[in-house]
Amino acid sequence: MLRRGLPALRLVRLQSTARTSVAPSLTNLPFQKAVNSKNEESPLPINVKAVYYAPLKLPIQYGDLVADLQLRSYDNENLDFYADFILRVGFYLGMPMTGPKPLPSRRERWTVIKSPFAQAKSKENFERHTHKRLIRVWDTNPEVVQIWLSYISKHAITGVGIKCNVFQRSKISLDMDLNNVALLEPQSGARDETPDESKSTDIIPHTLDEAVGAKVMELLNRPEFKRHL
Amino acid sequence: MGNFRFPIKTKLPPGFLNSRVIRDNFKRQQFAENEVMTRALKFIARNITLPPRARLEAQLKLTAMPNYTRATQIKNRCVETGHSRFILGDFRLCRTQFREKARSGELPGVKKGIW
Amino acid sequence: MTVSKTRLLKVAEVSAKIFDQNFNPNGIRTGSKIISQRLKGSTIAGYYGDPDFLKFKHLKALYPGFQFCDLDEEYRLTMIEARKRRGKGAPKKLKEAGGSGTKSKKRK
Repeated sequence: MLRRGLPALRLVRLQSTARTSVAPSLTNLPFQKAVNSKNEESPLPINVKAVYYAPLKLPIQYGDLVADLQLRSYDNENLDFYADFILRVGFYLGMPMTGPKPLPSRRERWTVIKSPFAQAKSKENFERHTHKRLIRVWDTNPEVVQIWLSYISKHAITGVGIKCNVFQRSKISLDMDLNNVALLEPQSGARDETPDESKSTDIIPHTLDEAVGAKVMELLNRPEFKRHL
Repeated sequence: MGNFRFPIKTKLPPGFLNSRVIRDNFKRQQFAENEVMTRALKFIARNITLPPRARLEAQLKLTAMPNYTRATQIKNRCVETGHSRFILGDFRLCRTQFREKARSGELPGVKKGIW
Repeated sequence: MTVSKTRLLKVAEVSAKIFDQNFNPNGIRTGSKIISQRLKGSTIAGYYGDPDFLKFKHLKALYPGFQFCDLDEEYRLTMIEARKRRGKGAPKKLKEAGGSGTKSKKRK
């Protein structure tokens, strides 16, 4: 209940600051002008006005890391825009989030001989930068995280890959109730045309490894092995 | 198509085809198919806690498997031309194809390097 | 404060048991390295792409009612037509049975 109450509080605070300090710059925007000319009395709704500012964030209360989301792209413009969008969505869902923290961008370079045959002294360089951003989610109900994730992936931008690690606490006898964990259920919504596309929880089914183990047992039970054992 | 020239029939891959690509593809499919078996045999052969005779048996079985089930027989080839040298693994292309595609902007994110 | 080695070993054993890890203090080769490696068959087999990927001829067979336009094939046909008009087309086949007869002779 407390968390639900917070967004409204923060919005009120924003309204006051906007009026005092940053309001003059807002009047320069064409959109604002058009609205003002129609009727001076009704200003923009506060949530629309918030679009012109950096995304709002809720304070972290308990410091319980629930999920971290990594965005990757070859192009930082779409990436930053999308990170901004994600933060806004999180704010209106009442999720305390930190970020986007820029992670070290990956630089891949290739040097290639220009000519298809001989002339190996003249080469050409190519490179590819992969930009990364990290957004972390704190103190949130896992269900809300799922809602947030589905909303984000529904409105995903082309060329930005999402990878989300969702953390869930469990007892120390993990192996026993691993099958009951909700996170292990396959998630829908695969991404498209992304550099490192994978929207996954970080637990991999061990079916293939188990296949090797089963094969070993089967082999050892065969007569040609059994007589040596 | 007449009779397939490899011991086990496999589907032909899409894209560029020549005999070397088909041969490599065949080895890849066979490697994938037999991987669990080779892994299991290798595990038995390398496990010191098992009796030596069983380990020897496993090693013999492993060596008796045909060559096309081994990973060392597989060579990366250019998907566009079938060329086998200077393959850029990230794109599965040989250097000329890579250069052409990168210059025409077909590889997302790849730009002319300036540094 | 010193802790005896046996005690430390015991702790390592218990922790390995809890976290489902291998406990191998003497470094005996158990082949766990081989079994813990990931299987890479699916990635290696998928190098050249999906063999069931739709091709043009499949499209025609799948949707017989529709008319598809194969640009490459059309281009080829127009080029053949143009060549024929210039008198540079493929030579006509011999209609006499002699041609096939020579072939059969050769085979024998």
